[in-house]
Parts: sequence; C-alpha cells; structure tokens
Amino acid sequence: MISALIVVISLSVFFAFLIFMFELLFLKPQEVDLIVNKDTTLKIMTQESLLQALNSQEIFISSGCGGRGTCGKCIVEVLEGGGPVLPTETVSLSKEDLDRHVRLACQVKVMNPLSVKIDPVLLQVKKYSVKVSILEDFNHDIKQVGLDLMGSHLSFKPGQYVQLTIPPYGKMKESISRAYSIASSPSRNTEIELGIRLVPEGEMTTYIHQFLKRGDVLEITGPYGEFILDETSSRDMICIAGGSGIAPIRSILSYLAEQQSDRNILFFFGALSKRDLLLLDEMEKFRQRLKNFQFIPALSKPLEEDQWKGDSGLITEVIPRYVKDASEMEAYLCGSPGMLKAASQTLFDLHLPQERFYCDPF
Amino acid sequence: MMLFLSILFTSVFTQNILLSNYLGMCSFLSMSRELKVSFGLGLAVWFVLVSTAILNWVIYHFILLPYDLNYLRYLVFIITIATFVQLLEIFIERFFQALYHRLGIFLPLITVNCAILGVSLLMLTKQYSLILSISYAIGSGLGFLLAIVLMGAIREKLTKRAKIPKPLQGAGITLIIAGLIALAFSGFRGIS
Repeated sequence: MISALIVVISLSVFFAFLIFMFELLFLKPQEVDLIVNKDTTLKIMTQESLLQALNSQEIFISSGCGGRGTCGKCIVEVLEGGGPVLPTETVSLSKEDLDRHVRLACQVKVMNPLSVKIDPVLLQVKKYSVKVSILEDFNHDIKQVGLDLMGSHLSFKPGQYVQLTIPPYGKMKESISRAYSIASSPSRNTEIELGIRLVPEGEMTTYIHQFLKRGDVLEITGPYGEFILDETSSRDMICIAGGSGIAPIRSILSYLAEQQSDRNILFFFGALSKRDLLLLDEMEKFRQRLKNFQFIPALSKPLEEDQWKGDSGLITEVIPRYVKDASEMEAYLCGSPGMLKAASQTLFDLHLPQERFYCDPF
Repeated sequence: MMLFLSILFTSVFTQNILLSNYLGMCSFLSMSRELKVSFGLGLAVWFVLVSTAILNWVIYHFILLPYDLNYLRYLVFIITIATFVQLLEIFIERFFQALYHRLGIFLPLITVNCAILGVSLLMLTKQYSLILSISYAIGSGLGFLLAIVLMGAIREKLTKRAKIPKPLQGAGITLIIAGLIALAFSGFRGIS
C-alpha cells in the first residue's frame, strides 16, 4: 500500500516537474519589439494579450467589455506577427476589416515581434487618477458619479466617453474596466460626471452602486469615441435616448446651453414608467436656457399611480407624432442596441440621411 | 527483425487500432473535417502514442511489476499520457499557433483518446518485449494517422463535390464512410 503511494506520488512529482520545465523553456514571457505606425518601436512581453501589452505601454485602446472579446471595440490593424484570426474575432469583424488586417487587440496573444497601426487620435488618450466627488441617485437604478480629476484637465468633445477602471473586489481577482459616456459639459474639464445604471449581476455596476464611496480614487482613460456633436451645423436636431443613454445627450445639451444655441432640438426619452425618468428638473432648466428646446419623455408601460399625461407608447410610435420629415435634420441616438435599431429605422423612414445619423449603442 | 516488421504492418493495416478495434473514435469522427487538421491531430496522436507506450512499458516492467503494483497501471498510464499531452500542447502553442487554435479543445482531449491508453494496455496483454512494443506503438500510431487522414480527405472532397441528402449530413454520412473504410481494411486480412 505504502509502496503504491510512493510510486504514484513520485511519478506525479516527476511529471509535474517535466511540465514545469517545458513551460519555462517555451512559454516564458520574453521581450519582443512592437512597431507602432511604422515609426515607433516599443518593447513588450510575450504571453500577454495585445490589449494588455499596449496598455502597459500607455497606449490606451478602448474596450467596452474589458478584454473578453464581446464588444468588438478594441480594434487595431495588425500588419505583422498577429498569428491566425480566432473564431472569437470573426464574429465582430467584417470581411473588409479582415482584409485590412484589423484584429481585436484583446484576442491577439503576443508571441512574435508585432507591427501595428493605431489611429493617431488614440495615441493622445491618457490615463488619469480621479477622486469620486459626487455619488447620488439620478433615479432608482442610475447613479450620478462625479469624478474630480485632481488637478489635471481632460479636454473632450460633447458625446465622448471614458474608460473607468475599478480595483478588484469580492471574488474578482483582476481590476475591471468599462466604458461610460461623459454626462457633463466639456467646459468643466477638471471634473466630469457619469451616469451609471445598475445592471443586475453586473460586476462593474454592482461595485459602483454598492461599494463605491465618495473620496475613493479610481482610474480613467480617455477621451474616446466618434459620437460627437457636430458644432459646425445649425440644423434641427433630434436626440433620442433610453436609460443611462441620457448621459452623452446631457453633455451635448449643457454645451449647447452654454453656447446659447438657438437650434431647434427635440429630445425624446424612452422609459418604461415614471420611476425610470430622470433629470426632469434639469430638462426644465434646459428648456428655459435654450430657445427652441423640447423634451419629450415617452412611457411605454405607464403605471396607474403614475397618472401619466404625457406621451405613451414606444419611442418609435412617438417620434412620428412630432417629426413629419427628417430629411433636413440631424440625429443623435444613445441607448440599448435594440431600441436604437428600432428608432433608427423610424428616422430613416422619415428620410433622415445616413451621414447625419450619429449613434452610440451600449 | 521479421517479427518487428510484421507487427508494424499488422498494426497499420490488418489490426488497425481505429478500424478493427474501434478505439479513438471520438476524435476520428469530430476532427476529420479538413485534411490539414486531421493530419495535424494524427501526428499529435502518433507522437503521444509512441512516447507514452515506451515510457509506460518501462514503468510497468521496472517499477510496477517488481513492487507487485500491477493494479496501479491504469492510473499510472493515464498520468503519463496526460503529461505528454501537456508537453505537446505547450510545444504546439509555441510553434504552430494556427494548428493550436484549429484543434482547440481536442488537443487536451488527446489525453482521453482511447487508442493511446488502448495501445499501452494491449501491448501488456500481448506480452510484447520493449522492441516489439515500440513497433506495435509506431504501427498503431501510423494506423490512426492513416485512417484519420483518409477520412479527412474523403470528407473534404465530399463537402466540395457531393450533394449529401439532408438526413445523412454530418454524423450520418461520416459513420457510413467510417464503416466503408473499415470494411476495406478488413480486406487486408483476407478470407481464411
């Protein structure tokens, strides 16, 4: 019996040692060259994902899902050394993307020297330490989170977003990061605000809603995003948002209010019932400050106690009541992909041209 | 020498581990969609099969038998096989990235490929010496490689050229082909 134990244990130890040596020999992280835009050469370590490697070199590629390959945002053109395209990438990348050697940085494992092409705008993105200065409820499931940049300045355009990183907590072993739109005006560049909705069992939002305290220090990178207000235009605007999608629209409206803009603005906000509405008093202020602003909240399932007198129905039913022809307008949409898809179809049916359609799904 | 060659050829053709013993069927059926991938898997299995057969023979005759631990052979053999699959996985991940991702879960699953444990156990039942065991392992590995490459080539052609009736697509036609190949291989045995 004892000899059996000794044999099994010593064989196992021997084999474990063998595997360990093999790993050391072949999979040990090594330093390799990373060439960015054909002119800068950086040193990165193998065995990491390209996203992590770029992050460690202070190149902050945005990633909505935090490196799981589900959001499809961390796209980078890998010119050399990226290895085979994985099935996890082909889901998010189109055929033209693949022809241009576009890859998802979080799915590319660094094995060999790499050569990548990165949008120069992204090279401007920086990392900031921020202190939580405001932590209030916007409504029952959306929190207003104010972040003080502690002396730094973040210059961004209305509609852009930042990537917020929180430390590991509870069972999480690694820090988590997610993308959130900035909800405050770009003129306040020393403190930004976000609107974060509680996602049931969401790792990030649970932390923000339950554990985050005022005074906590977090990290953000930014600004990112092409969902930007066209400041040169004076056309009539349609804004459509649902839930925390109100955040970038609030940034756009604050900016326009500061500019004392006289543009015609219709803001449709879709919600289930009255308790899902938020920022009503602020919308009232916008109505006073902006000459031609109209806020149209629409409830799809108003409760009886709501005694709702405003518009009811889905946003797709409400838009045609106010807009007959969108061919001369521009539209800014932010909300869940399902709602945006339906609303965009309604707008295109009203002859909105594709090039004046700005959309930010989350 | 004659015996060495005869065992080698027997295990490749007349006693093919896959087609006459039906061992290692799961990877044979699921990893034979493309010729290239099936060749890669065949080579990987061949390598693990030969190296573990040798090691297992040595362990069995010099450790297990002298200490009267015959009953431990299943456990010990599986540990050896698992180790070699790990080593192979590290090696393939480093040098053959494309194959690594194509094989996916079937690479670590070589561990539970019954053909490999089968050879290690059968060589004991047949009471082969080390040399003959090596020949048996090389032959069986080649037999597996041959069978899976045949299958891969046939299926690749089928998807390009043939119109397979809907109810037979996938597993159905694959099992029929496997049966036909096995039948053809039984022809090597002749009729006595």
